[in-house]
Amino acid sequence: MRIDFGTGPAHGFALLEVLLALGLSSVMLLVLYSAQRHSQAVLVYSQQLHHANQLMSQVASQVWAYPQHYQLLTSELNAGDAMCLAGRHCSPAAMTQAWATYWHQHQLQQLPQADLTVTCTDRCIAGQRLTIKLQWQQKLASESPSCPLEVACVALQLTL
Amino acid sequence: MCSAATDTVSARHSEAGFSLLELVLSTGLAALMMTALMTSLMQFNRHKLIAQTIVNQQAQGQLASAQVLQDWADVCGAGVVQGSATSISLKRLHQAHCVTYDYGLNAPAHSLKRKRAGGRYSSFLAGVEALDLWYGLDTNGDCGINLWTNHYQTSLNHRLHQVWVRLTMRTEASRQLGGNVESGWLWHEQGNVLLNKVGFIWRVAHVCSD
Repeated sequence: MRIDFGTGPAHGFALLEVLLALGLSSVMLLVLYSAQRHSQAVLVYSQQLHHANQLMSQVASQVWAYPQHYQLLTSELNAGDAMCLAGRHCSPAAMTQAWATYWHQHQLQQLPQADLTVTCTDRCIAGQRLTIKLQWQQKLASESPSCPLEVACVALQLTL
Repeated sequence: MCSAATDTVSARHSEAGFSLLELVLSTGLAALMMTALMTSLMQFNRHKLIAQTIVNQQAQGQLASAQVLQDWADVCGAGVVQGSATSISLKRLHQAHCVTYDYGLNAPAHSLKRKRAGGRYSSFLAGVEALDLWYGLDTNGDCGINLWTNHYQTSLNHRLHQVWVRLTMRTEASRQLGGNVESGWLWHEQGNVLLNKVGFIWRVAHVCSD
């Protein structure tokens, strides 16, 4: 038996082979990297939902506490007096503004381009339904009838 | 049948092995790929640890609020009797009787403790670093909270509407996470402990509901 390795010089890897190997390695690393990025994004979304739910719970509590002044709970002015939540006597309007400021300075900071709204279906009187809605920019959020694409929405409905 | 003359294996022109350039290039390439792979694996491991820690924190926070709110759900009689920033006494049903329960922070054990009147303290909620209670009072009888204070004593002059429970929870975390990469993460000065703030409001039922 005779095994002949050829008569010419040994060539090693061809340029095409090297390029293919490098390309495949790069693709593998890219897939790994994007999988990790996606996993991180999911984690951030989960954390945002956690913050949103905590905030919604607090807003609902204060809507019950100040049914006459609930609209001030969503005011974006940072004019609320922080001391209203820390030992100072305040009017209901000042209290609601203090809460709004507190949320804007704390919880809402964790949500990009967050928008908090409180609306009534008809009139805000006893027996009517009130909706607290919080939405923020989130690329992973899918479209729904009440929420556009890439916007995450959380809503809570209360009966006054 | 093979003859001895033809039964040889020859490898003409291939005895030279790898050249120095090939060796250096292949070693460099291998090192590069290994570094990339190792970095990726380490990042993945770190990400997994962060994910576990975040999930732990979320679960711990939800469990804490659920446990406290459930325990305080069946309040009876005078409701909250008195309270400070780190303790609260309230009346709740126990075997069809309205009994006083005391809750407080057990700082050395890093937990919340609970005691029924005449009984002994037992651990109620684990992994608590700090407790900060605020009481929302109506002091002018208009059924709206006009004062948030961290001391409360039952009185005819005011009514308690809400209790704002602010807990600082402890979560064990690996030192591999090091530093403070994740925004909002607060490490305890001692040990591998992350601190996580949880805030929720207990709405005292039946106040001004008529």
